[in-house]
Amino acid sequence: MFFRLYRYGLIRSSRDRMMIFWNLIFPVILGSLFHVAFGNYTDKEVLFHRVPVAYVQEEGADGNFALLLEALETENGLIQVQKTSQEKAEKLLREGEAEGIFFQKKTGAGEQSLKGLSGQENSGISLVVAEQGINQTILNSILEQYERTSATFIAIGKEHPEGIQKAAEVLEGEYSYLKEGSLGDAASNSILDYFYSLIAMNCLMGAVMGLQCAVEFKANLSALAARRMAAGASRFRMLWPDLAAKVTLQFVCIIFSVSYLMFALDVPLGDQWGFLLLTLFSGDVLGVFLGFFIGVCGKMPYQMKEALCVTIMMVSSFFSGLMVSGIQRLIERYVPVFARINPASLITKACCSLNIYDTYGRYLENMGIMLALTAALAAGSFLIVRRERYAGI
Amino acid sequence: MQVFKAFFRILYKNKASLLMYIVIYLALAVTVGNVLEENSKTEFSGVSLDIGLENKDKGSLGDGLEEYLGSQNQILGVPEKKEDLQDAMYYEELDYVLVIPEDFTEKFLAGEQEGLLEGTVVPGSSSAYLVEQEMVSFLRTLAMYLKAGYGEREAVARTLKDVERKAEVQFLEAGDSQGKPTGFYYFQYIPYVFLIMMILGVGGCMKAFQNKDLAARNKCSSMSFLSQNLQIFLGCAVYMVIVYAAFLGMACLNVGDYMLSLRGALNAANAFVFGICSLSVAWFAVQFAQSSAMLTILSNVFGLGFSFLGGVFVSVDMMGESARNMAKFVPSYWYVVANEEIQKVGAFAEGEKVYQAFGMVLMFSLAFFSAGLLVNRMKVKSK
Repeated sequence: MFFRLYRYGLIRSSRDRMMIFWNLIFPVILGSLFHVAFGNYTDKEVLFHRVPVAYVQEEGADGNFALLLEALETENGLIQVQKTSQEKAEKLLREGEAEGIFFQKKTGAGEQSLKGLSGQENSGISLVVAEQGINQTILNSILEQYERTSATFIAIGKEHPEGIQKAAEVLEGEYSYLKEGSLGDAASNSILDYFYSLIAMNCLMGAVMGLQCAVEFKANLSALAARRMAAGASRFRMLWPDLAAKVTLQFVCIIFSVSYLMFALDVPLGDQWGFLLLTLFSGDVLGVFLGFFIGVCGKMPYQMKEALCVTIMMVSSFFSGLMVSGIQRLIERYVPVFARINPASLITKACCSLNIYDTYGRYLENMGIMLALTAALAAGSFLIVRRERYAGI
Repeated sequence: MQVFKAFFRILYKNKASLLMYIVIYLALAVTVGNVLEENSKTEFSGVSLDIGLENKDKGSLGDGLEEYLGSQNQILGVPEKKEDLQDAMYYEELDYVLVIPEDFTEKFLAGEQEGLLEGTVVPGSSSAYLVEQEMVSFLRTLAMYLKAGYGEREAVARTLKDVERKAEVQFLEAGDSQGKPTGFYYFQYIPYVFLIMMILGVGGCMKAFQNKDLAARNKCSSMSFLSQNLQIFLGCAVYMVIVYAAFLGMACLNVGDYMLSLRGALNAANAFVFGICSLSVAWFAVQFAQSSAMLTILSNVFGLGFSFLGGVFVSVDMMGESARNMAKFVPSYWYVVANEEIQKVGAFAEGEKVYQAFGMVLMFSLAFFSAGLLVNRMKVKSK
């Protein structure tokens, strides 16, 4: 009996076109839109690329700065210099082909040293930019470094001329002052949170499925349930296959969307497949039982309960970072209790912790809370419906 | 005007969902506008990074380095637990983590240069390059003074004085240094809400008129088919104007000063042009809706699709080359282009690019209206 009802449960649910759209197609559409919008975020906003810069040198200007730029281009790979005319440089900057322009004017030797002693504008070099960003700050830092070094030499030459040779040796040496530690590649990709939240939303969409189960179980909510109530078999024996079918179908939908994200869109959701599947399954069961619990509570009409399910799903997903990046972190800081019980946050954090940390402490913590929530919802639901009898409907 | 009145009666029944979108939009636009409003800057100040720094150094060089980094960046503490540190870097609360060890001064004075400091970075990030460049600049200057024969404290003082020097940086155009006002953000998200409100509002009413029995009943009424259609059309146009006026009114309450400026007027015109386009898109979309559930799906698909693809939610600069090219085939892209160009305009005569974008949006309106007519015609013929 179980497998027959389970099979029919699967067939009935899979014929629901609205369910197919919201649970299967909508996450795929939203995932594709996220990919189009954020796909290049890490590459463009986080990772370093050579900074393209235009260089305009007035005839007869000092060549030291040009040498420095050449060294930074060929040896350090920090910048990409294009020596050009003023008009062309401005055009490059306007069109976004260059991040800035170094203008070097010709300065007389006497003028340079005089201005050098007085402080600013000593080198006759200026930087022209079109916006304030990290690349422009890097270019500014190069120019400042050049001017500071000139000032240092002037000061040393004036006060300790005997040490100028040793000071120059410092500039010739290539030193790596830093001993770097890395947090792993995934640490650079907070945009993944949008995709994790999307997966969490997909898991919680199971709530509508759970609600349908409840409606088909309670005789005061649907004609089918009333018919089942009058049947010879125990209605709980009809409920288990129904719930199992909904969980299975929802899980298939989630697997489909996650596979689409991972293999079609190349979203790096991690390589711990077993744990990821376990998280998705737990999220799926949590979603279905959330809907079932809402369905068996109270006597509100179906539409009202459906609206409640959708609201809980959307609010929960919003606070897990589906629409605003970093909101989950804010909630964690200011309302930690809510962050600990918000279903979408738990699923997001469980998936995310597989990617960030090299230990399983946080993952197990989130999974533990998720299982406890599921158990509480299931127990609550069965306490409400057990020994339920209808004198009249 | 019975049909016109009926149009608004149906609309009134759907008021709850339409009002919900207005509230969502206001919350989004006002919050984002206030959070992202950039202060007007006339001078280049560079990017300030968040550096987690732990200074264990017993000498004075570590303090000097901390003072220098703090003059240009925000210095924050380093979380004790490794997992907290990983969280902070994952959520971009820290751009760089630097630990200055106890024996830093001792080793530096002894002439050691390699691996003196411990840095934790997001691999290959721009911020890591910038912080490292700043540190190297400081340490090299310091080393130059020390090698030249200056004492420890004097070398630090001299280095700090030298690194105070600022380079001469100018903006290419005066407007480049100006931040975007709240008004910009208020109008940025208009395409999303207009599309959803038009598809749900107009679609809901038109679906009612397309109901098979009602349409048959209307066909045999004394009112001519043309008159009925004209009244529905008028209803759609008035609804669009009401939605537009409501948003403009809210804009006046929110960013009143901005609305009285030239840019405010251009933004109002931009929103009106997009209102017309949304109406055409709604006319096109409603041809595919068989039920109100389908209408909700279509409103989400068009609203979210056009907003993400057109650069409403996330700037098109973030997208890849092919996605950016694709964005040009979406009307919201031209709305966003106009919105950005408006911020550079000083007089009506300078708004050539803005008017071009208006023209593109109107062309899209025409295209969607024609496509809607075509689909409608095909549906009628197939019956």
